[in-house]
Amino acid sequence: MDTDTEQLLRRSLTKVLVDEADRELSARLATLGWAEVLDDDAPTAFRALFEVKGQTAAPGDALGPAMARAAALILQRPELAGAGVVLPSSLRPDELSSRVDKGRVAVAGVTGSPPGRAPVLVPVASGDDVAVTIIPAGVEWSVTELSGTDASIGLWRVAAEIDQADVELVTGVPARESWAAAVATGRWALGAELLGVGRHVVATAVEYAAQRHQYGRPIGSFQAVQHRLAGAHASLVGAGRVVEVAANSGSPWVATVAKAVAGRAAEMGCTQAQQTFGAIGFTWEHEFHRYLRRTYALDWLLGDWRSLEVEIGQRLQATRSVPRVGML
Amino acid sequence: MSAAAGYGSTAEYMAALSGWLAVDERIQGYRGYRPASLEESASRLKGLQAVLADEGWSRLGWPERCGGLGGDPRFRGAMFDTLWEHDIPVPEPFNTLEILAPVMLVHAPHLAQRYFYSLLRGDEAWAQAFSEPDAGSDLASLRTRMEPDGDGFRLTGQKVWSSFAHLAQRSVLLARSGGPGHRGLTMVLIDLDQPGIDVRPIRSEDGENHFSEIFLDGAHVPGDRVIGELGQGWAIAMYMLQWERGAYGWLQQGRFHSRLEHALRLGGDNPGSAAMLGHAYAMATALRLHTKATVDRLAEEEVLGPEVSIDKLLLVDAELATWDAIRHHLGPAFDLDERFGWLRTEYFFSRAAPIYGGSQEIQRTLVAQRVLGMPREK
Ligand SMILES: Cc1cc2nc3c(=O)[nH]c(=O)nc-3n(C[C@H](O)[C@H](O)[C@H](O)COP(=O)(O)OP(=O)(O)OC[C@H]3O[C@@H](n4cnc5c(N)ncnc54)[C@H](O)[C@@H]3O)c2cc1C
Repeated sequence: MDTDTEQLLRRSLTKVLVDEADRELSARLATLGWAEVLDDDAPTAFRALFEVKGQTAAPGDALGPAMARAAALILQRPELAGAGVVLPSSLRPDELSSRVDKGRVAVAGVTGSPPGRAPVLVPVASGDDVAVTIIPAGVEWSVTELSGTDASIGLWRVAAEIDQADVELVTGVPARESWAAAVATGRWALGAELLGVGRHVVATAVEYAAQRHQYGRPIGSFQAVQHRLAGAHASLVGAGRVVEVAANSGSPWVATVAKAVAGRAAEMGCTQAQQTFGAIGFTWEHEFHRYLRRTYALDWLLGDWRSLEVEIGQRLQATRSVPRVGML
Repeated sequence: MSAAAGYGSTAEYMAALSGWLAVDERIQGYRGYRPASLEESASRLKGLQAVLADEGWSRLGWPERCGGLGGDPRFRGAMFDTLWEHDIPVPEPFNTLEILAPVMLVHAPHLAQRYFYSLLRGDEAWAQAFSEPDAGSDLASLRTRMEPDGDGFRLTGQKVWSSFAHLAQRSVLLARSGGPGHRGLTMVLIDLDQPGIDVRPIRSEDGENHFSEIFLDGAHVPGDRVIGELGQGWAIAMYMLQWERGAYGWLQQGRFHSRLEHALRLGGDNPGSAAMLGHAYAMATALRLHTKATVDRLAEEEVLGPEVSIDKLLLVDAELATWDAIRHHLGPAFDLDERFGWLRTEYFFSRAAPIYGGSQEIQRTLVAQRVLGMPREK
């Protein structure tokens, strides 16, 4: 996708995400011819979607379909591309909370859209291995909306008990590979969303600092204010490079690094922006807290940045080698 | 290798270079080389520099008119990356070369033609003499005088913090040829080995003689040693920043990756260091990918602006995080054990990352005002 097309896409996405926030995301995206956009250049299109979603703190399940699409490609099941995904209850991709045992599938986890109508992909523990179940529409689910720190993010705790005969079960290499691909896509996509949040709060803080005067001058002319926001900006730029390469390469390793750097940069951006806004930023009325809450909620999905840094470090210690990402 | 132009891509070049590094006898002594001192390293690595030039590896990516073999400038960055991957140190003068040579090619092609090859081959080394005792961050306030003298100029004043100047034969220098402010500055190339110049090494925090002060007492510069035009010194120094902050960052990330790997192989595994290692790796990767984009832009001959300060800020984060992690990973032995002397030297050097080449504060101000468009202080 060339830069002009990408800019155009980002503008359309902003409109669609903001203007019709109450309609289901997939329906809104369909009006943009989303399926064709994805066929043309999925990494760029998804990055645009998630970044814009972060910038606008919009609701809607983008994560499930992005992960499902990655899994569907491996499974060669294009019809699953729009499916939902149920994440493990801990939100960590390797701590499977759903299992298949003795002919029964017990699903418990968290999802971005209440299941029921579309098929749903669920990673399940099958012995010591991961399997992927494809649960058809029409199954009876217990569903509780999660309204914690970020009540508008749209997450549901779900559970179901199903006869194994009523679901499709993928095992072995295809299961492992499709779940790994889904997690990788989920991680860089969340990284992109976190970048969007971080960029938005830094940009609005920069704007505010130009308007707000104290001591007869804009607060943005104080070096203490400038340095906070410049540091945050640089970190976001660096993180953006990693997210981009993760999206284009599809590498699970780079995706993990991408979510770690983006999560850290977004949180740092929030900290610096919060301080810049002063008391006004601490009001319920100011939009800032919605972005802060979104940052916190997104961070837990598929591994928070602090845990991911530990995970990366442990991997380096185990392999005693340091992969170079990207060549000149 | 002689038909250097034969490489269709950097990947092909890197594969060929890797193959050669693995077998060429002259190279083996440099693999895993751990210097006893900066001086030893400088003298020892000249041999490596000469082989790389003689075999053509380091000539690729530099224009033919100055002794290069032509081809995409990214071949240079690819060479650094490959050397570090093989745990072969990139000789220090390549940092200077990457910063100075692109500027010389544009603003002093005659000097590039005359000296580039001996610089590349390590037959001579150059330093940069910009800072002065009273002109650090506020470089434009520098006072070293440059006055007409016969067919050239005479320099009087004092420079300081000039890296590796006691091992250099020549130095690029910024002096005041006119009135106060930016417009009164001129950049020249001086010979350090002459009666009017006294170079005195300064022992640095890392225990080495990292930099020197340079006393200029009527030192002579021939008229043809002006880089650019008289009074253009500041503009050229700004132009130089593209490489000083961009290309330099790419070269350094290779070192960070290589040193992290080395530390991991030494063992250690001090409890609690996993998070720091993961963080360091993440920062080094961000630096790598961002400076890669910068090197790509430079290769496309884009002129880069104040956004190169972001490269420097990412370098600072990565350099500090890398060495914090290495030190912690190796545990008490890092600070107590004899055999980690050379690592400690590099560790201490990392503490200067937020200072050298324009401090972290100066870069943040530039990003705030020139990239984010925040209001300037009045
Ligand atoms: C290892 C090393 C190698 C070097 N190599 C070279 C070299 O080869 N050639 C060369 O010419 N120079 C070299 N330098 C010098 C380097 O460029 C200067 O150290 C640097 O520009 C800072 O100047 P200063 O040390 O005088 O610090 P100062 O300018 O005195 O600054 C001291 C502190 O005050 C802060 N400060 C200063 N002004 C401001 C401001 N406006 N706003 C906010 N904070 C401010 C700085 O950020 C810093 O933290 C080297 C330095 C080091 C440490």
